Amino acid sequence: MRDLADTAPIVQFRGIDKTYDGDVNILEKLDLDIQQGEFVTLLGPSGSGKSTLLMILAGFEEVTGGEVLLNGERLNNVPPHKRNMGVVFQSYALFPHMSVRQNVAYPLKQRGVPKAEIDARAEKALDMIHMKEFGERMPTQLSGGQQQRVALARAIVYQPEVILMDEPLGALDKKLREKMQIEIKHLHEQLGTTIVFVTHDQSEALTMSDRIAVFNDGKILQIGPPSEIYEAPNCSFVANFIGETNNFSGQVTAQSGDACTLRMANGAEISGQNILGARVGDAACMAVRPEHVKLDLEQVCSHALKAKVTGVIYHGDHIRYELDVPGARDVTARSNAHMQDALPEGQEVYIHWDMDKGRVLDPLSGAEGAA
Amino acid sequence: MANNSTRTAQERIASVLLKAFVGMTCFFLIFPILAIIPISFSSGSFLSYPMPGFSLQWYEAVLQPFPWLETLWNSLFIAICATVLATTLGTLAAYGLTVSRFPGRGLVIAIIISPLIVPIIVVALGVYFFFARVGLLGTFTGLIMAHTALGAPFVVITVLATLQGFDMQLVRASSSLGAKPMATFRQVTFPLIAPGIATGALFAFITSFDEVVVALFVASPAQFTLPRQMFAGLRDQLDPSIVAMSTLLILFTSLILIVMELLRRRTQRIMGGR
Ligand SMILES: Nc1ncnc2c1ncn2[C@@H]1O[C@H](COP(=O)(O)OP(=O)(O)OP(=O)(O)O)[C@@H](O)[C@H]1O
Ligand SMILES: [Mg+2]
Repeated sequence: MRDLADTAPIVQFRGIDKTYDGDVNILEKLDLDIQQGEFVTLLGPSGSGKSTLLMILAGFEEVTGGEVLLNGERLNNVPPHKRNMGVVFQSYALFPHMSVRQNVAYPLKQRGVPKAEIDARAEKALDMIHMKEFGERMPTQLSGGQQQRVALARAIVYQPEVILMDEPLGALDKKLREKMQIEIKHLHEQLGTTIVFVTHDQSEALTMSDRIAVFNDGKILQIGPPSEIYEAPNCSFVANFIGETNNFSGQVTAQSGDACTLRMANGAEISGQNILGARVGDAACMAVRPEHVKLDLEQVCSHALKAKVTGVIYHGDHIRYELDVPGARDVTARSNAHMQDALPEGQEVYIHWDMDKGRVLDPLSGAEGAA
Repeated sequence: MANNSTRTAQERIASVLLKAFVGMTCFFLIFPILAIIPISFSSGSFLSYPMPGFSLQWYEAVLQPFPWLETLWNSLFIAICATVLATTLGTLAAYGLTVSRFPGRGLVIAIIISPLIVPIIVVALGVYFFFARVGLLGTFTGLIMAHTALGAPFVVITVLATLQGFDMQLVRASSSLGAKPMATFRQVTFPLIAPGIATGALFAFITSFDEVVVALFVASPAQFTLPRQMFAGLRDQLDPSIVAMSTLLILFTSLILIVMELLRRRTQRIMGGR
């Protein structure tokens, strides 16, 4: 793990506002610091403004307010070709009339690098992405994964300070995508370059990033290492967007220190960690990951909820139970038990979880409740 | 089953009808042109069948320096200058109109392509009065400028259409890789839209090379173009030399079209059928 704490940020977004039509704010008062050598992922639903922020950093879009700093210097009026950033587009954007080698040599040629050095560096970049034999091919003669690798080589060959990737793996099938994730991660470790990566695939974000910034509606809701985002979401949106979550909505009836108690619609009471400082009488929602939901045939503790198994789904390495819980919707639990030990459908059970695994967050809005 | 076979029978009839229709259209378009060609080899001096005998005298006549070759050089000079100007200006206009969306963009396009819509005689009259005032009547510059305005709309239209299919992401990619705007245009945009530019240039060339109305108003005898000379010939002495020249022009135009098609296929092969 890199020590990121005390180095100066390489990229700083300060109070970024962005509107395309002067009416709707696509980004709102957005602040984000990116450290030297960091792999930061912008994760969020479609239309949340991830690409917009990336295009602002690349210089293709202007901000409506706020400023962007690179190494402490204002970037606002610097045109894209002077920013020395590498951009990898979702559509690859390879030049169709140039061979793979010419594509990779292109940025070096623009910088007036001597011919012999261009050849050597292009060759090295092609080697890094295992595309040495394909130098003379035209982009249309390559598969999607190969094209993506060429786009990657083209973006790293001139050693840019920051590499920006906008859903670079979106067009690839699952297997290839996982392979490329590992290759990109590997490249990042080799080069030590700062990478800003955009995706709306949460597992991609979790596996690749040093830090994840979760976007919604042009705001960063939470930013932190993947484990923190997954294990300690700070709001219902993040809890539901990353991984699976069971939501128990209710009203706070008691509060003591870090903990509080929630009364659900059917009157049952559950307790958990009071993350947002909810007060008695507030509406709230408790988020519990399926792997933390424990099933028992008897009521082992006072705050266990009565439930009924309505579905048992075998996933190979784990079993997923679908549960009918009065007062809550779509509750699931994960169990590592073997199939022969699985509970049968229709079984009456009691569910419960450790106090610190239930996180009391903001009440669900309509859209998330339906999700 | 029965339904299926009647369907194919219908389709067969439709296909035969279509072929006949296309064949007839081609025939009506091309036959009048071909029918006139033999007269250029006539030993007589009238535009009529039957021909009294075979002779190359009219070809000899049109290959004389005066008046035919001289007007041919005038035509080529004017057409080439007008084409270069129309292509350069038209391409820049189309590019600008594609990359920036500003209020009044539609109006600008309408003005640029208006020479295509306004009757040519009106354009010619306008040009005549304007040029008379600024002293461009009877000059090569004047004729070249007028023909540039007539040819530019073709370039703008074809390049605009080509740019529609051009991936603007490539321009962004290029500038992110460190290319200045002009370098991007030269190395990325231009090579990829070149077929469209070439098509527009060809239209601009043919427009100028064919043009007679503006030439009638603007050109003095020193700038007589080939069509202007043919027009004079039709009025003064109607003989098969005009047909001989026409035949040569048909050959020339067909050659240009064939070369264009070969170029198009080549670029398509390079681009892998995009
Ligand atoms: N050029 C533009 N003009 C006007 N509105 C735009 C433009 N580009 C994006 N938007 C709007 O800005 C919002 C954010 O778009 P953006 O592309 O940043 O989203 P995103 O988070 O990248 O989404 P996705 O995951 O679908 O790529 C959207 O509502 C979109 O409609
Ligand atoms: Mg996007």
